[in-house]
Amino acid sequence: MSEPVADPSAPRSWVALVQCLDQPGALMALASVFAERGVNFSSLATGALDGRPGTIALTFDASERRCQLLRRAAERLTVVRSLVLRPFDDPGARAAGVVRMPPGIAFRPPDGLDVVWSGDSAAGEPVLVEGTLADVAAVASAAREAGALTIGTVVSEVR
Amino acid sequence: MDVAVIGATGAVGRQVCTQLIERRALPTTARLQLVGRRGGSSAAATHGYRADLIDAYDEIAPLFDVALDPDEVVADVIVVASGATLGTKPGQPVDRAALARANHAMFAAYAEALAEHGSGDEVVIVVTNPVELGVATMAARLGRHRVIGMGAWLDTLRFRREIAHSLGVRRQRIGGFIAGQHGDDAVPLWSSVRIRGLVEGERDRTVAGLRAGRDLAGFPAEIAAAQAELLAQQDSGRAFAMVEAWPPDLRTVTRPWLTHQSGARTAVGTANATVDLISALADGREIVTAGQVALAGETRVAGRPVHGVLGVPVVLGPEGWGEVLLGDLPPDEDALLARAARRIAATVAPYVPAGPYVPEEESDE
Repeated sequence: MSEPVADPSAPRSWVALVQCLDQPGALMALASVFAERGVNFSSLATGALDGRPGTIALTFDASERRCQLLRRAAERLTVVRSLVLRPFDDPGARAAGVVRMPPGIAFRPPDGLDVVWSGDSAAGEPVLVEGTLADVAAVASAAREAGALTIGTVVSEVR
Repeated sequence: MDVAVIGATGAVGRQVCTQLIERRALPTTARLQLVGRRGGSSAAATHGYRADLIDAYDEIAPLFDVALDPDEVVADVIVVASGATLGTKPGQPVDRAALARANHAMFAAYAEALAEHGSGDEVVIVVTNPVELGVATMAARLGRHRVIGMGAWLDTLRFRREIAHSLGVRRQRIGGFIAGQHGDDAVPLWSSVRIRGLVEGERDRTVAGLRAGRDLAGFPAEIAAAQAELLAQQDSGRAFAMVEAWPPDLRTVTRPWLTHQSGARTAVGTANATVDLISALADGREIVTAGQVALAGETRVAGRPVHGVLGVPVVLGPEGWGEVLLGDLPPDEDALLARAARRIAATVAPYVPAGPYVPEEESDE
């Protein structure tokens, strides 16, 4: 039986790591590329990573065609120095997360996820996790369902 | 909405960019891409032009971007205003065949690049002449409805202005369209003329007066005779004065021709018409305009469906042109439009495969 053909117009999730000029207006220019085309950010974070100011990590949903349109339009901005774009579940997209559970509640990442982790939440320690973006997001989702008090995730690398 | 102007440092390209900014047609968050040609004189000039625009318009300007290769063109609306232009030396004949040879490679290069790298929904506005060849080349690669030549809209604005001028009113009171080719084979659709404030009988009487008993059967010969008369006139002031005495439809074709002959260009008017179209697209509106479009039987001329590029009234919207608004024409307009269609097809055929519309061969002399 042949594989079903994916619908090219169906949206999928993407992650981009954008290196912008570290100046006012850079984020607005980048955000305008998406806003003008009716694409929302699922997440957006700015801040220095590895000492590099001007870095913006963002995730969004779009079809393959619209994703490439957004990439090409964003790359034309003079404030954008570089842009790496990958599917959300690409193994080249890495993230880190921290989970704090209510006192006495044990939490560990679900089995089968490609992450490394540490911390005894039952003992009041934060659970630190690192791995692929998709799997760290899955850990965050599981922690939310388990009643986590705080959850923080950050895209650490997109290559 | 982002706009790319191919040939941004040319006379028309500069005017398009300036008018887009002056008319606030683009928000400050939009990107205006200035497209030059790597390895040509425009490469450095495009960067310099960007600096000059920023210098002049920083308070209101969109974001600027410079591109020097066809595959770098990224925009929602793309204006093709590059390439060789009509000659401006007095007495220099308009050689559209030479223009076609000079500009077809440029049309094809950008068409291929957009087909390869584009988003699939850009709207392309062709300004460069022969505009019909540009439309045919682009439409063949990108899809018919995404490509429109602005020549018919420019001619329409000129036609309306000449009628208004004859009546002593301003252009906004006049409706009506020019169809056919952008140039000597333009077809004034007198049957489409509307004059605000006049009901049908009053309008018919006024139009009859403007036409002074002429019909379009003799229009090509009138144009040729007028041009010969103007070329024989050494004094340009007198030449322009001669044009003033002619009927509106003849002035529509001869005044811009004379402007080219004078050494001036028609960049301002051309850009105005182009920015009209861009503004409508930027606003997300559907408008009734006229343009050179690649038809596939949407309308009939001389009793046969038209397959090929022809200037016609159309509805233009953010996704390109849609409905053709060409009703039944009086015999003289129909015949002249059929002639224009044949002559356009002859210009395009050596470069772009013809559609199935091959009109009867008639002498076009």
